Amino acid sequence: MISQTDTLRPMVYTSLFVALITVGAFITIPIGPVPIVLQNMFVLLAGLILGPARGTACVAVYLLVGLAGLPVFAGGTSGIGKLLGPTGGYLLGYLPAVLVTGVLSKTLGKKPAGDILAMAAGSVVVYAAGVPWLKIAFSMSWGKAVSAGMLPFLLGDAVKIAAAAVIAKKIRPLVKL
Amino acid sequence: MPRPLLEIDHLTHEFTAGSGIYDICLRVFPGEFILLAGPNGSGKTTLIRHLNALVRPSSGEVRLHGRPVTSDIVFARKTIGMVFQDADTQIVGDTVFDEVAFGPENLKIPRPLIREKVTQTLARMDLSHLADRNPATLSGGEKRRLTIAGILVMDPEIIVLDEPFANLDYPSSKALVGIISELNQEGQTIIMATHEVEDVITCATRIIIMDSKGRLSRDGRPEDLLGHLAACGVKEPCFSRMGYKKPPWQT
Amino acid sequence: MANLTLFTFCAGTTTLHRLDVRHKTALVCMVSLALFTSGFAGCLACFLVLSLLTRTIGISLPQLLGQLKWFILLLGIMFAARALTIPGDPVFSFSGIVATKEGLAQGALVAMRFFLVMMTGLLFSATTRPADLKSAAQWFLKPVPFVPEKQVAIMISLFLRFLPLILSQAGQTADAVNARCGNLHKNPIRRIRCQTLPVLKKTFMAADRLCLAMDARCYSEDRTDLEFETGGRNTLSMAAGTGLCLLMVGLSHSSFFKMIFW
Repeated sequence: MISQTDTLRPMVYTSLFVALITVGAFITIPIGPVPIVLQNMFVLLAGLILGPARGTACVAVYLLVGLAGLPVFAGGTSGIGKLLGPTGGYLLGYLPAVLVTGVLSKTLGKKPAGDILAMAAGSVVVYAAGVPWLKIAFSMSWGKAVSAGMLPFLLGDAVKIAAAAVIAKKIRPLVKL
Repeated sequence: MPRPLLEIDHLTHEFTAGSGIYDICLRVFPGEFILLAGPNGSGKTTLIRHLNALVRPSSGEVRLHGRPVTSDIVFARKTIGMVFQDADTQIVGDTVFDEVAFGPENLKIPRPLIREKVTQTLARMDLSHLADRNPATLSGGEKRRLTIAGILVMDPEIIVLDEPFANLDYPSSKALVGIISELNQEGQTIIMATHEVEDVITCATRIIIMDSKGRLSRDGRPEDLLGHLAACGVKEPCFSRMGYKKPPWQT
Repeated sequence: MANLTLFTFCAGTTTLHRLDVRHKTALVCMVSLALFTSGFAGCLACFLVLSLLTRTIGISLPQLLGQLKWFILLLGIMFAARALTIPGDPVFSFSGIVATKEGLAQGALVAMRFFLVMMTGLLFSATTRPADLKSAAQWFLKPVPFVPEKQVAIMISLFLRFLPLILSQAGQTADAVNARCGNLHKNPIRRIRCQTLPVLKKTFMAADRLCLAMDARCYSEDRTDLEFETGGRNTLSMAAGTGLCLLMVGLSHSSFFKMIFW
């Protein structure tokens, strides 16, 4: 391949992941009583597959698009109101999370076990940003914030991380970055 | 004899797995309407991608106006407009207007001129009323016309179409044949890769057939090749199978 | 999912539609900031203006509330949380739960502010073409160092292209999986894999083809500059918007209103 394709391809893949993260908010898979949403899985996958730099760019573009007013956030919402709203911490937390996931996965050699560790660390970052934000927005206690904003999702997260590790292994050979 | 627009000189492209194309020699003259036929996997798409240097050959070269296409890639891509098989994965813009403007924007044409050319091209392809629509919401025929508009706006000398009839219904195919042959009658050089020649054989000026091993097997006028197509792995048009030299409605 | 591809943009020719998107973005930011510093009177003034604008672009208030119903529920929870936890004069108590005057006032104010910010955002996205948003993003990012604004604009454009593609692909995959009773699998990891892996494979291949097609059309980052809509009486609208913001802030910070509501 010659000319622009080499610089073009990473950009196209990054936009593809922006779209996947958006769609992820709408793909629900009913497992147990709470249907799980795949959005944060695609955020973590972006870190694994695009790497730290492009993964961060990907989430930044996603937040920018939502900030600019396209209804890409969960529930078809958008705008500064949502980003600064009670659940805005989770959205902003995606930014450091994808970076952490990307860096860890890279240093651990892009193997399934390392990927799982990287994604677990990424998830911790998301909650580290989301839960305190939730606590302040609702002016609730720490216990309540954790039990409303973190505990119900942990099982689903574990499932998603396991699935993402399998997916990353299968997709990486297809992605010529 | 006029100077050839495009010369393909002993072009070979080998793949590590599967078939490539071998030792293709071909000259394309201005105003021709060439059908590039052959069974699936005969290398039609690979050959086409060499014309504007999207891929590099293993050996041989393609020359445009006497100069290798790899010497000025932007010129080659501007001069040879390419319509790919899958309409959905070649539309870049988020509205019909922006999609057509994408090419001229890449060439850094000034904005007022872009607006004029895009408006003109949309009118020509009968898409003006859809200018603000999201391309994803268009019908198959409209998408195909949009992809042609997207390259027509760059004033190419040659238009290359890869399986343009894939996934099109009968009325849209018929309309597309009309558009393409009209372009050809206005002097536009056309190369069309297809495995179904029935719809277009009467408009074409030349047929080139590739065999399943990626070599040229026939090159001639449509009327001379009629009756020999099936032997080359291309479906014989209905009228020819019934013993006519030309479709009955044209005699 | 359908409204995701169509977005909430409603075509029209009102002043709001024809306003330069950069001015419109600035207005949205100004109003949002003003809202976060204003009290009840300011919010009320803002609400009146926004309702009027919503009417002129042809969206009724019930329609608007319908769009925001989940968000309103969230606001309700926020209101309740504050009303019941902030200490102060008790207004009423119900089996040990006490709502205070200060809590009610503060809860209502916070909920109202968020609601109005959402309403502003909705008004913005209803009158702005996605393509204009992309131009605005590029223009605003231009002075920001280390951000390749032209790449960002192209990425937004590509994102808008991929969205319908992925949605239709995801739908087809789900149908194909369910047609073979894939939804009966007990293992959740397997189910996620079956639903997403084919979609990812297909879209990555589509991305490769898209690269090729962009290349064939001479893709270059050095491209023609943008243009902006100019038909919407920009200066007048900006002045009106600034006036509104000043009014909102002024109303809320006069000590009179503060005494009553805060």
